[in-house]
Amino acid sequence: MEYRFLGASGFKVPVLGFGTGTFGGKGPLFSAWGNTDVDEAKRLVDICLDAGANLFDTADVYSDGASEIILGAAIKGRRDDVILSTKITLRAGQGPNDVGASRHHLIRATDKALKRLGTDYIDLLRLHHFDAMTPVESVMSTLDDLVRAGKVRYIGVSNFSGWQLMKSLVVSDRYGYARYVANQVYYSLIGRDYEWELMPLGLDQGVGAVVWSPLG
Amino acid sequence: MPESTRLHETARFAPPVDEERLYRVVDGLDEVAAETGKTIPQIALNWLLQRPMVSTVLIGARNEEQLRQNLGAVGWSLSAEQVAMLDAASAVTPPYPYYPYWNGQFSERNPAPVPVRPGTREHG
Repeated sequence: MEYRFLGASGFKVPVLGFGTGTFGGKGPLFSAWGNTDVDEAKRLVDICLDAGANLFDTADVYSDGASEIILGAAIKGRRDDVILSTKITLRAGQGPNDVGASRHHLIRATDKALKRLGTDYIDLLRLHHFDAMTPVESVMSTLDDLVRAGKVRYIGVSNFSGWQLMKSLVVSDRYGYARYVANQVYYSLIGRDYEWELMPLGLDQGVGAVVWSPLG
Repeated sequence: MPESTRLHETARFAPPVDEERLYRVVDGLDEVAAETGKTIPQIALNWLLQRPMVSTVLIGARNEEQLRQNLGAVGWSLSAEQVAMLDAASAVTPPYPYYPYWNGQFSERNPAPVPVRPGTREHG
């Protein structure tokens, strides 16, 4: 396996990571992706680790938390061998604050993800989308607190536009907060939009691409 | 489209794709598959790994066979000619303000991170 730097972080990740949206299979969307149970998940994790593909990506909304629970069970006893990556901010509950990037939800969603994954730190935490209703200063301050508390090691985004990501980076720089080093993007031979704005931004700012849906 | 594909339920989560372009890309992939003996997913993943800024590519798998096949996307590289052919097959014209950068009008001060084809429009 080849390992590359995750943006300007000094941290290396395998060029192939494993997306666990197929774990769990709850609800109409995720059951269409797959319905992998714990035993099968363990076998898939074994195959990945044998090949050196030790990054595993999930999200709190994948099968309503079941993907994180199954991934946590599948890596039990080998936390040190894996890189765990998850995403928060999509609606994850019925309450008025169970969505977005408020300080309230970022902290609570991170704590819930840690519990489901059965670990005390997440290697790479990403916002699943931009939140235009929470001040960026509040978002970056909270993420910085999560990093300083040791709950999260690296931070990133997913599905941000160029200005949303750039504004966030400027706020981090202004206040000395932890900086986004990863941008999870849709990029494939039939979807090269990443190249127009986000790739030059990534080159300029040291934000590495984590590619989702690479086959279109 | 095969019965087992997830695309029926999940296609709306990625942007729509122009059909003509899709056929050009599939033709390109078929050609490279014949040259390399690699599968189409392996070729598509290997192409991504040669793009700037790509740190990691997330593969999915609903079974062990799919996973092993996807893991076979590394350990070899498409040739420069094969990459260029897939670039041309998959190229699209970007909207303003990217368009003048993409077609080379400002390239002296703005080298493109990936090869562009000055003056060309939609088709390669």
